[in-house]
Amino acid sequence: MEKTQVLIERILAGEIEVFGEIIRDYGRLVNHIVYRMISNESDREDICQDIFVRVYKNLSSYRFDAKFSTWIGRIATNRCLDILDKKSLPLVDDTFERGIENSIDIKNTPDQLTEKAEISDLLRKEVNRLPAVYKTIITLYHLDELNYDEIGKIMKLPEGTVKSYLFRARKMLRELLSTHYNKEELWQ
Amino acid sequence: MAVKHLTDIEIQDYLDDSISAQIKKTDHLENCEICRNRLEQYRILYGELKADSVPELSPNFVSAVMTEIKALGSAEPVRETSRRTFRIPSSVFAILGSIAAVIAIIYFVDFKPLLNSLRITGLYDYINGVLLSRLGETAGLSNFDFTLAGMTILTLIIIGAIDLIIRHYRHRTALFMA
Repeated sequence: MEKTQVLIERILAGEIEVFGEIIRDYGRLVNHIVYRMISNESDREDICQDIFVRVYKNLSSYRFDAKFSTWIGRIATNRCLDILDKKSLPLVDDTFERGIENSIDIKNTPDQLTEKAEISDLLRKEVNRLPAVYKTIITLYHLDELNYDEIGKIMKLPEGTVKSYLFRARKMLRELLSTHYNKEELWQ
Repeated sequence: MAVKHLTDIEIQDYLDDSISAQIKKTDHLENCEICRNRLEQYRILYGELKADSVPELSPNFVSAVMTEIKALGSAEPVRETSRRTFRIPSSVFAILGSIAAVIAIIYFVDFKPLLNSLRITGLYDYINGVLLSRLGETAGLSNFDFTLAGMTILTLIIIGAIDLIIRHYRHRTALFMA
């Protein structure tokens, strides 16, 4: 029997303390989703906490037919969408593609930005400027190593849409790199 | 002869380990410096995205959640199935709202000017006199006001369509919010 299944059955049998193991195993995934979808830094940890309480409350409805990571990721995504919906945050329109091209700090010349650390910093900033759905997909794919199908189930999107969003986001980031650095600079 | 370079999608497929892309593109990449450069840019990007860091949860996160769970006062997780029984689908509210809106429109709005304007154009006579009378004869309802019924159905369809568009837009809006 799989470790998670054993843990869930123990929790359902009344061993509440075992839920701590679930939090330790899936905290990273939930944190990644919340971090990418919720821009307000001070709210994030409370939201993660709320998500795990919801997971606990609904644990008996988990049927073991889907991966637990997908199930828990879906709860996290739904919670984030509810929060975004309630707060009626401003819509990020399609001008973000134009915005990303103009977002480089003009004080820095290419010579000053050849350090790898600065490229990382630049990319991190640009990833954070992407729409929530794009950056969440990028994080789930590259950091959590989930496949298109799993991401689609978590984000409630068709697999093809996940793939398309991921390609589009990476293309934008690659174009950003190639616009501001030549190949030699990137290699340094 | 113009050289056909690899597209961004093909290069990403190559790096995502799509087997067909690996076989198909290897030859081209060996011979094309432009595509090799672009591939290297993507390699750097993939490396950066994989190494990207997200701030960790605070060290006392687990204990904070456990405290909250214990404060719920229940030894066992709540059964989700018992709550699902009482959930009313949002579509029911949408239909009820649409019906209420139509009733309100029929009660408060005076349709006579609209019907008169249709009468001026001759459209009313055509609809009422030709199409609907034939339909009425067929259905055996000679005194039924088909114009009013038609307007009601049309209004209902328009409200339903608007409701669908709004609900779809709200869903997409939530996904695309920053």
